[in-house]
Amino acid sequence: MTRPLRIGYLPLTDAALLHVASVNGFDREEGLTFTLHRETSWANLRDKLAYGFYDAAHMLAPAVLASALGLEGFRAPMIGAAALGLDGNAVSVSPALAEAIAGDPPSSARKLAALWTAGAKPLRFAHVFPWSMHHYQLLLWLRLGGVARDAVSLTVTPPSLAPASIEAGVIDGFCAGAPWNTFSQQRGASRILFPCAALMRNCPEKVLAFPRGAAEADPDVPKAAARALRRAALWGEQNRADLPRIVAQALTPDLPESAVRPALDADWLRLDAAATGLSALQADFLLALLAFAGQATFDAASQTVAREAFWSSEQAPPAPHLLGQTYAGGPLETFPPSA
Amino acid sequence: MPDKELRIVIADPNPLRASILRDGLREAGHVHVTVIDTFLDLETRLCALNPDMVLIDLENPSRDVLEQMIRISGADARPVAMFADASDAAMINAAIDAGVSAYVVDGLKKERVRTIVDVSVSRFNAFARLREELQAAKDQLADRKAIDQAKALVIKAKKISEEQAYSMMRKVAMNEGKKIADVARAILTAAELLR
Repeated sequence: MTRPLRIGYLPLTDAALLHVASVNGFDREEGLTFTLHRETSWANLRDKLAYGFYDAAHMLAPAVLASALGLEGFRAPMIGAAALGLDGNAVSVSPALAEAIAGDPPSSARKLAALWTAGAKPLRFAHVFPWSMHHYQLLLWLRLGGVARDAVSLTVTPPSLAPASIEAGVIDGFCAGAPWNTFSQQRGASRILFPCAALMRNCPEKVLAFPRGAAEADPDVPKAAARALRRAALWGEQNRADLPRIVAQALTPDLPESAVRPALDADWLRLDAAATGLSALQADFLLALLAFAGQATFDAASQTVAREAFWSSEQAPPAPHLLGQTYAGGPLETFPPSA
Repeated sequence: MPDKELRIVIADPNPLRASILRDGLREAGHVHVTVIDTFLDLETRLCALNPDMVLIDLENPSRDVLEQMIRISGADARPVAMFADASDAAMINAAIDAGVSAYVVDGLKKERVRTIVDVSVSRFNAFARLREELQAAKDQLADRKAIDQAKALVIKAKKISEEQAYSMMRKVAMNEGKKIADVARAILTAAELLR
């Protein structure tokens, strides 16, 4: 007898391990049966998880912390049981802008700052949700170049609309997860400026989230799901040729295989077993990013809540790096560090 | 009493569903209802309309755009899930079930929000029923076509009357516990193979 687990996900390569676990039966070997439901927005995943339409969800790691900290405006705290990978995001910009500012994160940000003249129309960059690594990565990048506040405006654009939004001149660039950067680049709408791993490494962007109440009432279920994901990742390490096939099959209703495969081959996205763990240090790092964005305060009380929201794994994941420096804990008081 | 001055935006790419909902809101006395059916630059469009309430279909990826907007506009608007006390849980469940979600400017009376959400839920459900009926009618038409084609093949192959052909097919269907349309499709597939 296995226990059914209804899981919502978005069509992204970091939904891969959920599909691998299900296709290969790692869920059933851990006493669960995953049924995977494709969704269309992070808001839907959050709401359907909160109202019991799903048992678990593919979720933005910072959104889990935001819900635990009570920032959502309604009480539906989530916990993260496992990371669904590390470092899948990239920043893409229009071909014209790419021409003008190409370079690593610090140099492209400096060129961007120099490009803008006071009074000009602000450049518009899109991320995916108020609480997302995508949002913080854009903020950190802009800060690196000392880009003026008036020079840019940030908005949310669903990644599926990003290519058309760039073509229509509605946005100048976006930060999205894989494979949307590849997809948009193949269409000729944008160019990948840099993978976010050039800015920060070992960063959990998505986790498998459960409602906190249900998870605490029956902690064996999230733990079993985390084991199934870890096994899926181990399988992926040993079957590199088969992994893209499973992921491409799972995502092709929304995305062509020609976009999924190169995105999976990109050397920054990590779906290995070590990448599925969560740690207190990661919780601190994400809290520091929420605080950097002005969404939360980095204090002892918030730190406790954040750490409780990330269920630490026995095998600790790699420590986050920011601009090549290992994150040692605490708030990001000064950024960039040299400034 | 409905507030006639309330500005409501329906964000829905499905024109039929949007018009069913707009009619429902008008019947409830809301005249300032705008439908948005394309989603490039939704943020700018919505800012220009300055609505008190946005109703958006749950399958719309642009829900996430609204999530951001309600937080940068100085927290003066919130998702309707905000109102989730015990008495609202049923309303929100019904809304998710029906596939609609609402974003509301802060300060709007709870009862007023509830009325509009109720109208939205019932109109979305009415649309879903309509679509099911339409699909059923389409399926029926396709079944009829398959049965007629299969019948013609049986008449030709066995040199029997139309009535005999039909009763043969019905008998097979009954014996195998299938629909006669499925038997007809099996005949068509077999005929295609043997051609």
